[in-house]
Amino acid sequence: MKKIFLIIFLIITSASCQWIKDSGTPFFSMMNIKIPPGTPTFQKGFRDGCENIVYARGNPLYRAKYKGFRFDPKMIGNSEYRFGHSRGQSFCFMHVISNVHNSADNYLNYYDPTMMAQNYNTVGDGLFDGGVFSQSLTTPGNGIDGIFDVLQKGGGGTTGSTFSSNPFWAGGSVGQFFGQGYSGSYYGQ
Amino acid sequence: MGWIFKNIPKDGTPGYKLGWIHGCESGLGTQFGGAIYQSFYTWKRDPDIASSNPDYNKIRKRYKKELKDINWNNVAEIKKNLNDYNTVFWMGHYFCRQTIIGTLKTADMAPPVADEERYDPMAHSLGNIFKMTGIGDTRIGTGLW
Repeated sequence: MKKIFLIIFLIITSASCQWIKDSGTPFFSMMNIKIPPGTPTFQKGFRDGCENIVYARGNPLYRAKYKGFRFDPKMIGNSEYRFGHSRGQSFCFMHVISNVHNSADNYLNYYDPTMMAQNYNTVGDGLFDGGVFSQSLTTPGNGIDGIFDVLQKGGGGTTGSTFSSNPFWAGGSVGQFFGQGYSGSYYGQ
Repeated sequence: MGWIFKNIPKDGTPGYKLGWIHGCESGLGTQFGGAIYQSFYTWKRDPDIASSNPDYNKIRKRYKKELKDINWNNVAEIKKNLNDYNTVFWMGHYFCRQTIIGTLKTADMAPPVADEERYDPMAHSLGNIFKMTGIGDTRIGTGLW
């Protein structure tokens, strides 16, 4: 029984040994980018293109590691090299910009409400509450109120429609619009 | 900005080097370089070299110093140099505009896109290169090291 378990264990573990098969694959130094299979010329082009952009868009660590512009003047007429260069540059561009990130504490900005659910009244320095759209709220038929007023009253301005009231005001008592919910505990309050 | 021009390959033909420099300067003059770099650099591709029927004499006189090593009696060599210029122009353009925006992002000084906001000189300073909250925060790993 122990032998069977041992055999199963070995099969399971060795199945993940992809690295044995791939041991000859060249990797781009200090990155998880494999140089794709191809002719040495193509691979040289890919490597040079990759190094180009990793230097250009990488952080200071990348710039310390890589030397900068790479495009072999002797290979300028070689279409295979240029193809590899172009592919390496495009591929590594996406790689490097997705992995070089800002400082974690960059996001700890208390005053930046961008990603937080808020009340329409207060967002954008009080967009509707003293802000640029406040006239829409205080003057019936004006601004945003007027835009949605038409839906209720129709072009004639008097007749009833499917809306029993201006849909803009279809919220609760604290100034929500379009039926917006209100929990009373938004944005740290 | 001299350091970026040091990236020019040393063993290129004169046409290659001139194309790279022109491409690089043109790249720095794009919006990628923001207001400051746009003040110093602009589009620099030579229309005569880019022409499908270039006037060799005109080009020779214009770039006496830069293209002095070309044998102007050898048409094949001239064509090779002008071809190198046109090919590598975009390589230099791409590299330099990416490098400059990479540098500005590192300093948290990425230029605004058009119509986004006005240039704010108060927010930009040379001291920003030491800023730790730019895109290239080296205090923490990137997951690739």
